[in-house]
Amino acid sequence: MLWAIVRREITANILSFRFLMGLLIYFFLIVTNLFVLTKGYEDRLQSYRTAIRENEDKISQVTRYSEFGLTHMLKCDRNPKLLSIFNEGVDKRKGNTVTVAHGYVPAVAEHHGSDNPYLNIFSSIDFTVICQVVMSLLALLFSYDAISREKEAGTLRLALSGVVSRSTLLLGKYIAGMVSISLPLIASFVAGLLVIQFSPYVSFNSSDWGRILLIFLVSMLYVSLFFLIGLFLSTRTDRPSITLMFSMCVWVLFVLIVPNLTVLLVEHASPIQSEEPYKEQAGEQWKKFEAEVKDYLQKRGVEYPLDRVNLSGMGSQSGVNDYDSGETVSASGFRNEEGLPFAQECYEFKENLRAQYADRIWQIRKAYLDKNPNRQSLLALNISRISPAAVYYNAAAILAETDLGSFWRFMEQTRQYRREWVDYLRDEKIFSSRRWFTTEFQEPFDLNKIPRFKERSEGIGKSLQRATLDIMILAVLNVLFFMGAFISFLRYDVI
Amino acid sequence: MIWHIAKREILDNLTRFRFALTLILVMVLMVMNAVVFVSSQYPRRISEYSEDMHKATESLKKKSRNLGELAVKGPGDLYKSVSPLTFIATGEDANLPKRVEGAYSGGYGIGMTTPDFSFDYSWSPNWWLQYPQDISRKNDSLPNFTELDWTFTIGLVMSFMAMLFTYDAISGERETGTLSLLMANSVPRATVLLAKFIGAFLSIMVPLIVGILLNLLIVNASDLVALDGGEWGRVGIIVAISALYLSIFLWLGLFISSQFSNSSSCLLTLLLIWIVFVVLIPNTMGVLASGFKQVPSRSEISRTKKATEEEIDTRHREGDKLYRTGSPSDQPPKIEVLRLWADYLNEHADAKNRIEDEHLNKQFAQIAFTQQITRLSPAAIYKYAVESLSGTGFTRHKRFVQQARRYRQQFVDFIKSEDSADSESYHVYFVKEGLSQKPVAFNSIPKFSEQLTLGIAFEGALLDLLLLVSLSLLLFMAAVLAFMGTDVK
Repeated sequence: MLWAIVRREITANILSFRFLMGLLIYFFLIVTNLFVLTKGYEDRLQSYRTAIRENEDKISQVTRYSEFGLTHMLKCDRNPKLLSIFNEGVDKRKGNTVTVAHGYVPAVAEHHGSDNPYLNIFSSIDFTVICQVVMSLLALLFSYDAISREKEAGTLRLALSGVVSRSTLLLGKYIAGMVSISLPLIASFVAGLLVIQFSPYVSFNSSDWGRILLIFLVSMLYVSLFFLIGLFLSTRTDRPSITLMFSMCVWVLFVLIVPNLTVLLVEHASPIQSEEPYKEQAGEQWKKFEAEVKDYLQKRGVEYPLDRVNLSGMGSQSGVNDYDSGETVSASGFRNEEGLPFAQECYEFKENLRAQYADRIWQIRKAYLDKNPNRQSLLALNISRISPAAVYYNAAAILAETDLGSFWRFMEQTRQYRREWVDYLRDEKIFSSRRWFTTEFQEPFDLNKIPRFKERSEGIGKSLQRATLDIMILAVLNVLFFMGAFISFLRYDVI
Repeated sequence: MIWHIAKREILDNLTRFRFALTLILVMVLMVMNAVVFVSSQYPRRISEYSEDMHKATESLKKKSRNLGELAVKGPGDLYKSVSPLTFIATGEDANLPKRVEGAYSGGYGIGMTTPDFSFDYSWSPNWWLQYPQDISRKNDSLPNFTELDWTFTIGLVMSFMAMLFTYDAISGERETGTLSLLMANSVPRATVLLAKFIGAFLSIMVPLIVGILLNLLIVNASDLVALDGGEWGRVGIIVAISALYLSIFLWLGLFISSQFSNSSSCLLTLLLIWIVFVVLIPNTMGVLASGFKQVPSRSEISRTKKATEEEIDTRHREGDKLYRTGSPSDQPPKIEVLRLWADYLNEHADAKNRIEDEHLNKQFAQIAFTQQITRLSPAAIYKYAVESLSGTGFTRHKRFVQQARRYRQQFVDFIKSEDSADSESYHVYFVKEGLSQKPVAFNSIPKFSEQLTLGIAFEGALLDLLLLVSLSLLLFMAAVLAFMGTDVK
């Protein structure tokens, strides 16, 4: 019996004009959007590759190790996430290149400037936003009159006078409605995927396919929630027009107002403190570092590490910014070769100490980030979970690896890479090597030996685990509204 | 007769649910916008701006102790002031730089002793204009959100509501059969259509005006914002443009409504059109346009800059001619040495100015191009027009940069005129030692300020305004023609 109802409803839906229009709207929106975002992804991939190439060029020009300390710092580039085609998240907004040195622990990312930053004034939408805003609205439009219209037309009485139970009818309406919504969605999604596949830069591996499928399923869960909200409201009133009004109010509140308001509220109620005191703390640390170095040199009876070699040519650049410090030395021509081992010893002490201080300064900076911007973002994220639209967006972003958590993971990896780099410098005794500061070696480095940054992507299981909370919220809301609709329909006055 | 029908339409509209929904929605959004603006957005930006200005003034004061130093180090950073009309259109100001940098870099020193000559001089390059991407929003990890300004409420929400007011104006009457009754009277079709338009227009003006009044009331009640006459004038024009913009969607609704016999088909067709033109086009063209017009990357620019500077260096240092004749810091300096060095330093600054300007112009051209494409969407046209009038957004930023460039010249002229008053100066522009060493009266230094009169703002919005007018006329004619030929049964 259930299937008879489902079939009837589906036929009625598919033949309706709103189905045709829904199909057209989805098609336009999704296919164009996926096409456009694929283009955007290609651009970012290009600029990522350019950045990598430029870095390699830069490294190959290095002849002294100390150049890595300031003038030729190593870079970690974040590759654009393939699934940002479906959910842009913070992928475009956050920086994508990070500088690493033994005197600097990375904490923020910058943009490798190959794109036009002014383009940020144009807003953009992605598949997730389309689902979030447009599809939820369409789902409501499909369901708001499911029960109340039949009551108005008098057919509800007829339908229930047979052997059909109320629960069967409701379930039938739900299944049929969801099928009619998903058909155009699936059609346009598949068409969109085909369009993406035309791009020579995109090839999905099995994990990507898994993620795409998951994103699609979460989207369906979200759309189903709005369908159920419409169904529930439809069982609470006698007239479709009233249901429509309530549905619109719910939609405007949860999709439009709550997500925007939470951000504004959090920005206002829990503002970010000034970074200046932290910068000062860091500055003091660097002063302490310099004092310690001076102390050490004085004990050894010199003012400058290279004093004893009696230099004839020398250049050095050093700089302390807010959080980083570095020095690049180039020395040529020593009139007193015996002094060199001493200089090497001094540099070993100095640069090891610099690395230690950089770690301490990172702790200061971490305290700032944790107490201010990161806390604010987490707060905004958690409060916005009042709205299912925000929950859905977050789940999709986690699955697409474009959420804030993924970005933080990347930052953590760059710090891990810095530790590797410092370990490498220590293990190979590079701080105390002649090549740290002398220009006598002209041949390039063996580039293979220098550790390179490689971003490790998160396993799909791990992502799913992180998205569990959000998916659970959506699932629980689905169940709740279905139960609500069910209970309320049991008591519904059909006449 | 026309008023009779219009009155009937208005009364009908006022009792409808869509009217109540529009009114409530617009009121909520407008109040929220005003409250957020007054309580947090504007005070924060104003305090940030005054902090920045304070720092800039202090550093300028320090430099004014010596005209030569001032000439070389330049006026420092130039900040963009915050428009008090930001609540009307935020214009993505959060994503636009808040300043132009009058940059100068630290000193260089050269000391050399050769058998022929000895030379010793420390200098810093002359200042140049640079365009850093320094935006005012602090936390970029917050979730994305839409600014609930007028361009959102009117451009997006109300445009949709406007279509709801007319989608069934004709098709609905055709469905119920009242259209043929109406037409049986001696009323010309054009009159009916016009009356229906007037009815819908006046009905949608109610929520618009109520929302705007509430919004302005809250904004005006705070002490922070005091709008002057010119600004009120701009608000007035913006309200007129908003009405014009909404009329486009009313005419569109009437046009589609006369094409279909079924009003739900009308609604869905309108929804489709609306989604494509109001949602899709403004939100996707930014990504597409960057592919059409390429802009050189930051690293390319720094390479060009480096190459140009090296070229200037080699040319001037050829045969040590820059060092051979003496140093500008000799007491007293030789005029020809000063000239030599002034040429060298000017050439560097000019090259940097030129390269930075060209790069920015290219970036701007790409944005202007993208804006042209997005003008396919009436919502985008409306947004640009309102932004120009509110003094926010890209148009404003472009004007800000232009004025900063003009100021660069003004500043140079000031230095020259100030210097010519000092008889002890060598009048060699611009090397520190060739200029007056006297302090400058801080108040006499021209300060950077942007001028935004009603005329300038209106001029910036003129193109968009014309586009809106012609679009509205076009749809008006389409609706009339369609209704003339429609079947009333």
